[in-house]
Amino acid sequence: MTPLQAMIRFELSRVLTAGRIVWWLILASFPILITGLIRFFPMSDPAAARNLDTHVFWSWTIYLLVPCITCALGVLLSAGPAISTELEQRSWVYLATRPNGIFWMLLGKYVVAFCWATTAAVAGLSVAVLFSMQETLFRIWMACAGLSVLAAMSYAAVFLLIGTIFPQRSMLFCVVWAGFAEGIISLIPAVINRITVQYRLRTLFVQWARPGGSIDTLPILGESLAEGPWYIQILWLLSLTAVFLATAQVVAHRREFTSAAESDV
Amino acid sequence: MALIELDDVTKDYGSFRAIDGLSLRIGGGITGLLGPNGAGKSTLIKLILGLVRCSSGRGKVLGCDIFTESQRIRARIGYMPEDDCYLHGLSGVESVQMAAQLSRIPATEALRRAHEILDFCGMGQERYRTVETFSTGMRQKLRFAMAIVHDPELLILDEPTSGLDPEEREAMLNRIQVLARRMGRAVIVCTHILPDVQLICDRVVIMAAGRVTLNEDLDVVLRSNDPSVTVDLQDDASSFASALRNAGLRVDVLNERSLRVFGHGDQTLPAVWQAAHQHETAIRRLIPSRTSLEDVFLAAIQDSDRADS
Repeated sequence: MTPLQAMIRFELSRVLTAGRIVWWLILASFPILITGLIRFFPMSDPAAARNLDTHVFWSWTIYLLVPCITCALGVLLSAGPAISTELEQRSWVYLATRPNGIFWMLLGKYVVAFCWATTAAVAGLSVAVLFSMQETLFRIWMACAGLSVLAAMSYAAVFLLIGTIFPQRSMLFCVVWAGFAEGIISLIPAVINRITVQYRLRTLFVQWARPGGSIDTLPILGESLAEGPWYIQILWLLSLTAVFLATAQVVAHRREFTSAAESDV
Repeated sequence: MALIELDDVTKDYGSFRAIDGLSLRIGGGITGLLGPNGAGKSTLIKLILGLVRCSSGRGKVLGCDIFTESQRIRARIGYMPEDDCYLHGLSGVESVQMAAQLSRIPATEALRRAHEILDFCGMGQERYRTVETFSTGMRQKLRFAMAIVHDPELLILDEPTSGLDPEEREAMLNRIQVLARRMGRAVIVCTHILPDVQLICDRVVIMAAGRVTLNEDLDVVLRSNDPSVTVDLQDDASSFASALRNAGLRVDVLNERSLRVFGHGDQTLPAVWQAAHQHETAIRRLIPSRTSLEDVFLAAIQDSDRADS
């Protein structure tokens, strides 16, 4: 495990710079800011506010803000440019010419991206959930914290793969994937939505946060929730993560990356 | 025994052929890899390191197949890249330690080796500074240290002396010689600085247009086509020249104390010594004529151009 330790230490030294800490704070502040605005600027229509199921509203809001947006954004920023960063900084050659250097580099980057996004998400969640002022806030926190871990784990693998396939425009392709596949395809009631992370996360959210019968019967979600108990969904997420990570490794090993500076013959 | 054996290796980048049916054997000692820009030197190094795959052909590096055993090859090769590249955010010693750890050396041992290697490379307290603050010479030393920290059997150095001042250049060449001569490591030096090759290499490989145009021992390469020996004397040269002519040698008097004797050194030198003994002439210096490496290099490239045309 020595190479993995070295890679994690190397990545941490990059993450613990002033610039990256500011980004971490911005990321953690995002759900706090949005939930704060919702709390302190209530609905203008009192009737609508009275009819609102506040547990349903707050649990969905926090779910969308933390596991879906904060986690995805966090790993997008750190795992997406995994290869391009090394190519731009010309450090790829050092890592790639070590025995299994590419393997440990990707794994180290994955672990640090996961930790970076998860800590930001859970920190943001811990404050944001307080704004909900719900009796069920602990249940919401537990559900969303667990989902944040799973979301960061899965999205990091997806974005790492995208960053390996498209090192030149990794961030752009990650955003496109997040919007198209996770935002649209995951809601399509067809077999294809099973390959999306969001499909499983949403199902787990409904099972864990137990936001009430009204959620389960929302027309938009009727066909886009998976069947089966929570551990099956987690197994799916673990399997998807393993497949994405393994594919990223295969792609990174098979591709012939050259940085601009060493692209001469 | 050849450490690198490549047979009819070809590498295409799309429609561009970077390596064209290259066959090469490189053994121990220090080998200079020369060639003009675009000759295929960088691609050859990447092939050896397994960073790119051959389009066709076969080869072995340190007895390992370049197609199937690239991990094993990398574990036994040290590579010093030419680019001004380093691991951002780390200090000098951390960079070398990390390079060692990535070669599966445990953290404590990696740190010990990092210090040992940096001492060998002549890096003092500046090793604790982040690499972004390093000068060109210090970065060069750092890259060298990272290449050798895992004690590789084969060392590939890409432009190891470029950007160094004369003192640092000499020190770097000395380090390379120590590794090759005292520690028995095979070294490939890829460089454009021909005097460096002439100074330290045992063998020279010249590439042009993706092919090897010359692969020969440096001594053989530098042996003159018109061999002669320049003789510096303590006494008058003209009378000694007569003695040599009487012994059947062709001689030109260069000035009053030196002359040139034509013929291969191994044939002419015994006769020169014999004549000096008989004539009781003191010889101060004997200098066999040599072809410059630059001439050899240009001739090898021109041969390749002619073959292409």
